[in-house]
Amino acid sequence: MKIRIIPTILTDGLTVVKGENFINWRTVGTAESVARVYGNRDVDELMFLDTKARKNEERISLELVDRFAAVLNIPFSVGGGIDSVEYARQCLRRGAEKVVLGTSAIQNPLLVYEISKEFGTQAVVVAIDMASNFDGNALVSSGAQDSGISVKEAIRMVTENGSGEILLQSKAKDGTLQGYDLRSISKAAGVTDIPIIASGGCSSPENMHEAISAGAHALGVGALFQFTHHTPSSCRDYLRGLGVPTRQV
Amino acid sequence: MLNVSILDLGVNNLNSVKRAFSEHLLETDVIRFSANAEEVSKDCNLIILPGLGTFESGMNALYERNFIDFIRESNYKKIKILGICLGMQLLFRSSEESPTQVGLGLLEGHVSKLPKQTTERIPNVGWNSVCYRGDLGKFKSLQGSSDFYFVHSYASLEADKNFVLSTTSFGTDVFVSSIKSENLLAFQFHPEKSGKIGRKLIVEIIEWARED
Repeated sequence: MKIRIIPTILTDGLTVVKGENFINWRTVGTAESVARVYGNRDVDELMFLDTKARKNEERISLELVDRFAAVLNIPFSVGGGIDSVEYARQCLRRGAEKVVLGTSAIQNPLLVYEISKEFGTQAVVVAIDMASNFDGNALVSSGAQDSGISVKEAIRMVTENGSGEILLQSKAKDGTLQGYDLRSISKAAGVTDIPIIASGGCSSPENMHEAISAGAHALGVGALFQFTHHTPSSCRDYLRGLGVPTRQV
Repeated sequence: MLNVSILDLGVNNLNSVKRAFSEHLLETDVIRFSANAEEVSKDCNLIILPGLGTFESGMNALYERNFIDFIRESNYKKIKILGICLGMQLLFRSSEESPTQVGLGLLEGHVSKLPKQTTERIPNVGWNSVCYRGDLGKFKSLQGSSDFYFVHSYASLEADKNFVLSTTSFGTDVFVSSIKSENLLAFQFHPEKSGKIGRKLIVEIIEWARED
């Protein structure tokens, strides 16, 4: 299957923010306008995560999901505080291809089972936030708390419960433009047989190639397209030049 | 005049499908959601069965909403039916995903779990090409090298050759990525999520639906 490049857009309500190490937030525009721009650039998929939702005891805005569906003709996933089958249903009905579960998946693994049983495993992505790397624990609440569960155990647990993909997030690398955590990607790819979306640190197409060689099936990208000159097409061209199969638009 | 009914199963993502088709319909055409068989217009001439969910949840929803007999009768009357993703799978007799569940049976055959591969992971998620088989007719968008978006763990691994419109490879195996018979049309991928080429295909689907 071809490698996917997935810009990950962090939202706070209806606004897009850029997180560095999950803590410093820089506002970069409305989520809808950012979606539109990416939609016009032939990206492979988009991912929208409301990382403030859980803290505010909210969930990703359904109005926002409607707006994304209205401007996009490529697949998009949404996440942020999703904690019930019913809320997942609402997101999917409105046009999201998949829901991303974070804290809920770790604290309530049965939810992964229930959502995947109802909608299929392909509708579920579980985000695993690594405190440090694969050897450490998984974080919850947008990186604010240690879950007490190792990354390895968390990946195994959600895979068994029916997750379709793993979004492996490196808090340490997030927003730093220093490259992905390759060792962790490699380890993660070895403990589960579902696709791995690597996330955190991508600064160049070269970083993408490294992540693919380490075992990633898809590349979550944040700062790269917002703060450098690279585009999804130029990255696909680069990878294709190295023999990596990418989407043919 | 096209009178399109998108069957609302409660588990499928409807907005995207409706929008994708609405963009290319004429003002004189009609397109709406129907939550049960009674809501479908008597003048409906294109039924869309979008897909999201599992074989069991899909068939349960069809049953609860009185869609099963409706679809079978519509097929008998040769009303055009479009299935997308799970919607394609539901047209078959059965699926490995839900062994005790019977499908609509509009197409002979069985849906299987994608065979394990060394180079591929399941679910099969992402963009891939389709290899057309036989006479494409209107569906020229399937002829080029543009990729369509797939997201599934099950597929038809073999179907009646006469109905196979395209196949797609999965590791060393091949599955049926689209089907066409007299009044049935179905795609394992999502035309409404496949960017520009997907839109092109939707225009072709609409043309097909307008034909007598």
